[in-house]
Amino acid sequence: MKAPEQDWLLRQLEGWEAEGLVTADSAKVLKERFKAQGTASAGTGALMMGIVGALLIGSGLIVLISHNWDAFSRFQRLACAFVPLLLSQVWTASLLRRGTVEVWKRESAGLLQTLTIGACIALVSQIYQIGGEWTQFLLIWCLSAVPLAWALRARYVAIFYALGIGVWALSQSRVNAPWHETPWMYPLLLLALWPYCPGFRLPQMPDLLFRRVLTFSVAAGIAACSTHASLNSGLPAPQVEGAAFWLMLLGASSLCLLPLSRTALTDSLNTKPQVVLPCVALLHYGFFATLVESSEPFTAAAVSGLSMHWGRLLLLVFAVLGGVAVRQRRFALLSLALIPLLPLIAALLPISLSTLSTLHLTAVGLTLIVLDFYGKPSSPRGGAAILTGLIVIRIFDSHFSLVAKGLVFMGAGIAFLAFNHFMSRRKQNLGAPAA
Amino acid sequence: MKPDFALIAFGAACVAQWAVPLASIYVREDAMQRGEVVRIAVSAPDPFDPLRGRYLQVRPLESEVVLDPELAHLASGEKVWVQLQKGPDELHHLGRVTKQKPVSGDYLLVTLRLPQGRGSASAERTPKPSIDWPVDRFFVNEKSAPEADKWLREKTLGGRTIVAELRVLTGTAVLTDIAVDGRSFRDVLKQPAQ
Repeated sequence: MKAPEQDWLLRQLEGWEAEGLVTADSAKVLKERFKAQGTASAGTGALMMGIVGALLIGSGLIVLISHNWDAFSRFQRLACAFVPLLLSQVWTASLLRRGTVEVWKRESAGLLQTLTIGACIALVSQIYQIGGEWTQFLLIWCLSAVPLAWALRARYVAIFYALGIGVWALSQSRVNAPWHETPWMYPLLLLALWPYCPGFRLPQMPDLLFRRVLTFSVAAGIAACSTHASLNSGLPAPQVEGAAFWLMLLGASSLCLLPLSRTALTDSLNTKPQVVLPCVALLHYGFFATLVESSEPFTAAAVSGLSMHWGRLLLLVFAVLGGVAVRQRRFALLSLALIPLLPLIAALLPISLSTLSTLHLTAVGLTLIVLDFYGKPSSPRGGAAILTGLIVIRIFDSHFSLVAKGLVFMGAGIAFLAFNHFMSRRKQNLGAPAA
Repeated sequence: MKPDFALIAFGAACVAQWAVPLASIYVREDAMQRGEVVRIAVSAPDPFDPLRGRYLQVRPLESEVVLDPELAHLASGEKVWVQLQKGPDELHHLGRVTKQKPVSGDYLLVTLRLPQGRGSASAERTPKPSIDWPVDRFFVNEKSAPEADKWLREKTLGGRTIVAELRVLTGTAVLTDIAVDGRSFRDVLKQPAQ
């Protein structure tokens, strides 16, 4: 509960107690519980203040360095690079020696030290005119900082690292580079987060912010590996882009099928970024695959993608994770994750990808609605949105006149609103107590 | 997490955080103290690095190389050694490319770049193999940078050559100065010598 709502509740409790709405014991329990939550939010406030402070100091240091103090000798400038790093290390060491310290101090120390490392490397490369790509600089910075995430259990250092390696991987897709300078390094780099999360004893799963960052990072890694594999596949230039895109989608399908714990299965979609982001991409692809003109190039791209080792590896991973999803009865998700396989099926059967995708999405939309009426876990509004999107795309792709298209769009919109209203009423009726 | 693991991880972090810049400093200090002076022709416009401030982008005018037939199998992106030979104009030029480290002379470790679609076009039009130079920027004070840019542009309008001075030792190069007409850029902008 947010702080203003908590304050309101605590203020109301006295009145409710006086009116007899709650007993004295209940009021006491509620006061204690929400006071405790208030203390936790004060901790969050301190954490945010600490992080902002560390960020300001570190950023200020980097901006000072950017001035390039030509009045200083080389030795003095090197001292400017190493003294802040040393001070931040001393602070961190003193915190570690104390053992138990507040979260905001650990996070601030981790972040400050991370920034002083970056400033130190930047200043040394400025003094010695060291060239090279900024992404190499970023990788060295990330690798120097990641042990701080393990030592301090510093979440923001781990976030910095996850983002940094994702950005690095994206910039490394090139032809004929040595393997350690390519995105194939990304899985190894990602493993460096293991000691922080989930940790050697699996103490806890990542929180929502970290899950979001990890999703972005892994998506970037998959995109980078797919692009790199396509660039180095020897495919004709016009096919490279399409094959890379299909490989990314196959990777996205595997990402959304990552196994979940039993409790997480019933959680809201808002808490599962690794499902939401890939599904949005898959649905976009699915809708575009229904266009007649997309059939041939999409099918050719999928066949080219599967001819690569990376494509076959992704398919194997998809098959394994798909099997786990079947065991976990995540059928709705699996139906969306199958979208990248449609071009392969279309290549084998005498049916166009456009028709196959239209049939598939229609089946998915209807199933999502029908399952709800049978009391199964589902998303009827999601199903309605898929069907509406499908109607709009198909009509847009047709040869009907603009008047006809406009009328159909309006009709689809009205039907969508009516369905939404119907579902709200149904939910209210189901929730109402029996007479 | 066990506290001993935390201390080990922290120790590893501190060692890495000092080792990376110190190793870089050691190699470059060595090259600056003992390296041979190499001068190459460059162009040097003035862009900005968000982390390290303003710099002159040093673009050597010469980057194409000729590969011996026995090196035809090399792929783009591979590391090769290139020899530097002093010409009659007192500037150094790119020489022979080898896969093995040369035993004598001045040489650099560089990245080979091969043109895409080699051999598909006519001989005159076919781009030649080239190298990525290990020096590409010369950081300058934020106040001096626009002045330096202006000075270099004025000087090069008459077709004069900008010369980058490097110190080269066992394949490592450190950019130490930029000059026009034998006049150091540092002297002009009154920067202290490194």
